Amino acid sequence: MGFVRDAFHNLRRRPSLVLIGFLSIFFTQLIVNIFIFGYLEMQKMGKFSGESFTIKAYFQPDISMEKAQEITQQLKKYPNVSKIVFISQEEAQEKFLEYFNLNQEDFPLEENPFPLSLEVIPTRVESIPELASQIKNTGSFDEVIYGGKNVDVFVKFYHMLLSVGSIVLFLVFIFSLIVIINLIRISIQSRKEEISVFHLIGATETFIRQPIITEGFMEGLFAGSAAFMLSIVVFHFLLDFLQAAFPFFPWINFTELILPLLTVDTFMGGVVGLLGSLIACNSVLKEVLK
Amino acid sequence: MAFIDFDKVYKIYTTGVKALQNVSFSIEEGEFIFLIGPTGAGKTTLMKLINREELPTSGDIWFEDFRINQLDDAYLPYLRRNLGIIFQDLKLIPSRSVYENLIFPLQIMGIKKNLISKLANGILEMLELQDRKNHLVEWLSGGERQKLGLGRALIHQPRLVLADEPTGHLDLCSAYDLVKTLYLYCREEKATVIVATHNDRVLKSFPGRILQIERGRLVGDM
Repeated sequence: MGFVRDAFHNLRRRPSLVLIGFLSIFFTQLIVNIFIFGYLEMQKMGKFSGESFTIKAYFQPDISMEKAQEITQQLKKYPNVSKIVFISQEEAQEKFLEYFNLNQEDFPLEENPFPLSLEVIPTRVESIPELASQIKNTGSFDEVIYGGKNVDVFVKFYHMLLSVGSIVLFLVFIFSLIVIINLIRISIQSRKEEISVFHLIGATETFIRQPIITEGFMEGLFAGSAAFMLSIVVFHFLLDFLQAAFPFFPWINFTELILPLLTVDTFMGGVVGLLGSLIACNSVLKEVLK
Repeated sequence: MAFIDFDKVYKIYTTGVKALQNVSFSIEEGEFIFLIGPTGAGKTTLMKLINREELPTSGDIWFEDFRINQLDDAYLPYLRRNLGIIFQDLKLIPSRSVYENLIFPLQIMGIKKNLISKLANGILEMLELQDRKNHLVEWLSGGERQKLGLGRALIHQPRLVLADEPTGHLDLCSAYDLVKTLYLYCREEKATVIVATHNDRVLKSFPGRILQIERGRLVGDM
């Protein structure tokens, strides 16, 4: 574990470079955390508004009960389907009467006019349009409907958040990676003499690389952890405020944020640091060891 | 096969300087050798060829059964672990302590901490540097740095020691002590020691083979 001590030693020797690298990963992670919050909040809204995000599919009138149940079983195997409720003609009539607070006598038709139908709950809200289209394409349904404009707006917003989020995240990731690569390169260059002495007295390349890569990894991990801690504090107060100001809105619980933020911040911070130092080592070390 | 064998070695730098020309000699294990010659004769180049810091332009250099000039880069660290080198410019790391500089060769070899500590304390005592153990190299005097360079070269008990002008910055008494340490190491450990020097007085104080180089050519083997 001598290389871990060496990595700490190297970090202590270059406080200004370490601070720049730390801050670049720290701010990247803060941006990432805002998107994680947005994503989780959208998920929460989707679950909360579950009813309006249910697909209703009405079978063609001439379809037999057996055939309808067979199609229902097939649809259950679709990857985007979470749950399917089969509604018979009698159940549909009962629901209708119950909804309008009517009795059987108030409904004097001899033949039940309601078709067989399904209520399909998707696994993810954003998959509703695609799933509805798949159900329609089976050719067994007369009509397939879902929450209409609300869902479309929601899904559009959701996709926009994901697209913008992905682009921003990619850019900040690349930015912090470039910063780390260059800082580690400077760090290697400033230790050029030391590294060449190691090499001359018999150090393997692995021995020389270990503290450098550990240094990058630790820098990323610390910055990610710091971003996690700050985010937790900020989101704690923010959610308290939002829940008090808009109590009827489905805000996520603060505790639901902790695990995703901790995982993403430490993992991504560590990966940026590790990847940056690996790239820097590959590009500079050969030159230094010549 | 000799311990070290130079076979018609030429080294011509890209600048056109002919550092070594048609140099051939053999060294057996356990020999104590002085490499002499004026400044610029090619002594340092010869040392660098053994350590594979440089490659010969032509000819072969053997270290036991290994042809150093054709050794794969991956094996280079393992060759160098057999060597203890006192560099002309010492190559100590000023920002590290005496102890840290001293134990580099042992750390590289993955020696356990308690054994490192034991070996290092032994060397520090031998070199009378115990009080300087935790001092940074930049705080040491020239003579103390030279001692530390010697300690780093011997701490891992190498089979071959290369000392490039180790007496350059020392007074006669210190130079004598340093070469005496190398000489005793050679005798006690049956190691091969090559000392490049142009200090005649030191040269005359110790028995040993003398290789004389002038203008890149081996002109004497006594």
